[in-house]
Amino acid sequence: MKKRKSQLPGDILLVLIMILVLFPLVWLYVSSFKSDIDVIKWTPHFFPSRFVTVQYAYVMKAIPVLRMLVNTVLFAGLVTVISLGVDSLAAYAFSRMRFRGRKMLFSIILLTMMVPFQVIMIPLYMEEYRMGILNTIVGLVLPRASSAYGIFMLTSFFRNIPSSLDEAARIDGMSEFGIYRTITLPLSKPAFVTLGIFHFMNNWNDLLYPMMLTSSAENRTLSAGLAILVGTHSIKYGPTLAATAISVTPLLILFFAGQKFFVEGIATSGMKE
Amino acid sequence: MAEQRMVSAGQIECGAARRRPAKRSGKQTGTRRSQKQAYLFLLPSLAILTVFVFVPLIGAFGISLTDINIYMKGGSFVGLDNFRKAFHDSRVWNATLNTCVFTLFEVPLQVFLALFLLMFMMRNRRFDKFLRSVFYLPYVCSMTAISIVWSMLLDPNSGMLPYLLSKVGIQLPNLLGSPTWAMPTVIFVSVWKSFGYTLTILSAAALGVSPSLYESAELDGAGRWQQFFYVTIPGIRDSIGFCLVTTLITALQVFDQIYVMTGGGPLYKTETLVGYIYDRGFQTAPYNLGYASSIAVYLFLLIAVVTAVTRRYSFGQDDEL
Amino acid sequence: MNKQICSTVLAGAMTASMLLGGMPAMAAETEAASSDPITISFWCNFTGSDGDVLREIVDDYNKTNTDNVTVNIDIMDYQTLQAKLPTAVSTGNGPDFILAGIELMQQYRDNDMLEPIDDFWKATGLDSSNFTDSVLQNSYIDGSQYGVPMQYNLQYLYYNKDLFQAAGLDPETPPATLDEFADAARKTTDASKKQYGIAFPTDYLNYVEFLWANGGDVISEDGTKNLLNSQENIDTLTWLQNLMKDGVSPESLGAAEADTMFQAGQLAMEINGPWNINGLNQLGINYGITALPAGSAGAFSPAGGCDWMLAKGASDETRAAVYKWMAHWLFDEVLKKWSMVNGFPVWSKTLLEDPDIKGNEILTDVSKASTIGRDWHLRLASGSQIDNDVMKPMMEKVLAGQDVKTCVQEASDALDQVIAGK
Repeated sequence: MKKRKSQLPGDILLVLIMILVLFPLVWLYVSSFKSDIDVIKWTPHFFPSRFVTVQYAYVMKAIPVLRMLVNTVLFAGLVTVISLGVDSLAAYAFSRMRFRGRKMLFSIILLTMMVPFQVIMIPLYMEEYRMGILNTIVGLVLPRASSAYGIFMLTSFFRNIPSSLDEAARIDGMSEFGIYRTITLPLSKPAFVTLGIFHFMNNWNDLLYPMMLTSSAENRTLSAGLAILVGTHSIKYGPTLAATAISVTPLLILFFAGQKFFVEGIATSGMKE
Repeated sequence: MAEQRMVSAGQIECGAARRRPAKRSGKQTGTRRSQKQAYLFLLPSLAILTVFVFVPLIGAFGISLTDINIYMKGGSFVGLDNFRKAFHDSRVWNATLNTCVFTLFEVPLQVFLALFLLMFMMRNRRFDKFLRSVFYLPYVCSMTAISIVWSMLLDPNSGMLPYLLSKVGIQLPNLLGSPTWAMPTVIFVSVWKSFGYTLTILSAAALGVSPSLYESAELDGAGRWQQFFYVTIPGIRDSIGFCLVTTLITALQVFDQIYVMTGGGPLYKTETLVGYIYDRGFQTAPYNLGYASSIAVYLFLLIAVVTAVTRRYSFGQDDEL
Repeated sequence: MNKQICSTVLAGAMTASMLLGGMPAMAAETEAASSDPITISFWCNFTGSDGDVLREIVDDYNKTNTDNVTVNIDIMDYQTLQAKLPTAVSTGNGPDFILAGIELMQQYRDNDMLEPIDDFWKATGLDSSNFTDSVLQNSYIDGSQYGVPMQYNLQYLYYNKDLFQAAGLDPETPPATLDEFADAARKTTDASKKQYGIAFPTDYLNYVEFLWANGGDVISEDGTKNLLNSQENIDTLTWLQNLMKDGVSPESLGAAEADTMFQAGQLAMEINGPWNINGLNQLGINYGITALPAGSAGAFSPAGGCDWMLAKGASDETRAAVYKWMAHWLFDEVLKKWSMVNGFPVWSKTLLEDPDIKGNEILTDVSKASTIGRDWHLRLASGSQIDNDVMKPMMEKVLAGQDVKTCVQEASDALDQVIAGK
């Protein structure tokens, strides 16, 4: 009884913030069904005077949405899968093995997080050109196939897995790779899901990077493709809303599908020593 | 090499060290075999990061010593001239200030808000789980999408929020067009987008704090808030540090939301370092890539120093990575 | 970091090779025997409603042409295009041709991005004398041709006839002088309804037309003389600032926002190019178009336009195919469609005689308003620097109510830096 009472102001606060979070997102979806004049007129109304799908029709006509959707899934999917593998190997080394230069190497890897893409995009472009992988899926995926963020996150996660398990396996003569594969990986599912969603999302949403490294509209990802509706000098608000909704929806579906695993998975992962 | 051999003689000690690598300080070497293995584990990552981040980065460093333009023309070696010029460029200082202001407010706000809300969500009720998902939603959307939505919502001439607030008697100023309010608004939108992610990470860590610690705290008569401050927060210190470092690094590179919402204006009041680099390199003649790169080098050093300091203080004394 | 010596060497080699510049184009996929089908691609930043029409014309051409040519259009926003194009062209990964503003032609040519197309008229057999000479002239640099005009335009005064009527103004006599303009702006403003007489966007780049109208200027056409700090300019900007203080324009809004407000019927007047006409027609706004108002020295409007340009490194086959597309664009039917839908002024003499063109009210108004064009740093490679570092900050401060003299002085100092090449 006492507890419930003290929680009430907190719950009110939580609900208020929930409204603040949901309002713009709901507004986005509702407004994507407005006609041009409904979007821009004063006084604004939350709901359209009538629901129309012209904005979606316009976007579908202007951009090969399906084609780009395939590109995006391919790009974001490959990056996610490969980088989870590559980064978890590195994270395993950092969390479970001793070697010279461990700290320094970790710092160097952390440094790569500090490089804004705008800074390296021209040199990267030239480099990919020399390597002959410009405008290919390899050229798009490979630079993203490892990330400091992933290594950083998995390292802190692995460190929280009790080492008694792998110690026992090591005594049984299991190789490091064996321990990584049969003990660490299965225990790290929640971290993998979290990081996987994170990678998938970021690459899905990335704009400048795929824009820079692809030369033709057919190879472009969805977010980059939809960006053509948002010119600096003229922006078409109606289609922009529809385009935004299109680019966000698959991720939301994915999120809700993985959410049970995601949220509860993390919850069960609490296994600190 | 000799050093390595010498240390590897102490196999037994290192075998023990392996159990809790994070807690040990001093000699950090394993057996030669395990060393070799460790490097094998690291090889793919290091190769990729070297080829696709460090090489271009060093390329950018090289460019910063020239006055090459975006057309790859006019590339003569100018030594440190660009850096000298940047030092006297008032817009570099202005951008540094704005970047720091953004970071100093955005990062703590995000982490504190997450911690504050976490305090009310500690019982992990169904409602709390639901909220965690809801708060995470903005993070799923791209920064560009979020920025467009908020710009439209806040637009003084067609936006929903000024209209709704005017109904209850509040006249919202032109937030994104005001030199006073533009930066706070940008910070607000950034926090709005990302606090849910921080909250997710922190709550995952908090749920992992051993229940026995709470039990003994309760026996000692600690209330819910005291438990939060004396059990939860110390228990998730690692994760707080992780969130601090990563949000800090991201914040210092802030660009997308500002590019969409204010374009650096009004009156350069929201122009950040990455924004200014982009402007000099790609938006304004003579498209001096060399000069833009020199500011980039400066930003890079700034981030490295700030991160190093933060890591030292947020991770405490043991030799966490 | 010190372990990265190897990469340093690599990067050094890379940088060195970049310095050499002008790398030979990679064997382009487009290189094929002349009779084979060929695909050519171009980049542009037509993100507005005019881009829809452009895409339609391209699709039509791809379906109907007998030249065996397929044209690929790639639209991206201006900043991305500018960032990507130079590296792409220099590595042979760029488009075969470019559709870009004529203000970019000079710097593209100076930086070796364009192929001269001096044989264009001869190779296509088109008669260049059928086109307005002043428009064609913008495609030549030092006597060499580098582009074929795609459209040309000035800035115009749009006005909402309904709002004029409601304010007791004659919707058929739009303001012709700056005084009438200011008067109309004041009369049509009703801030309580979020309705304004005019918009002065902070990121609009052409305020020079106001300076010109009263005899002022910014920079000499050859880019050597700083003309900014003059009494005429200070007077004009003070006038503009007072107008702003009277609340005739929303504060600190962007140009895109201004477009939207005019479309929503919240603005009585707007200064803009013709690219919004298509959108306005679709929305059914009752509007008119007229020339920019005149001041004490007359009426002037900054000229602009877009050209088709051939990217560096084009093979003979590509060149031939691009010529075919450029020639296709110059056919009267295509130009007519472009002008009729988008409201761009007509610059083909035979097309001017077309009855549909003659009967189109908006086009007639646009054409009438298109005789006051003036060169606004079209031939200066530093154009974007003048816009971004001189004019934009100056206008932002003036509109925000800061002391005009100081603003002009600061901007003039900045312009000195630009002229000195810093």
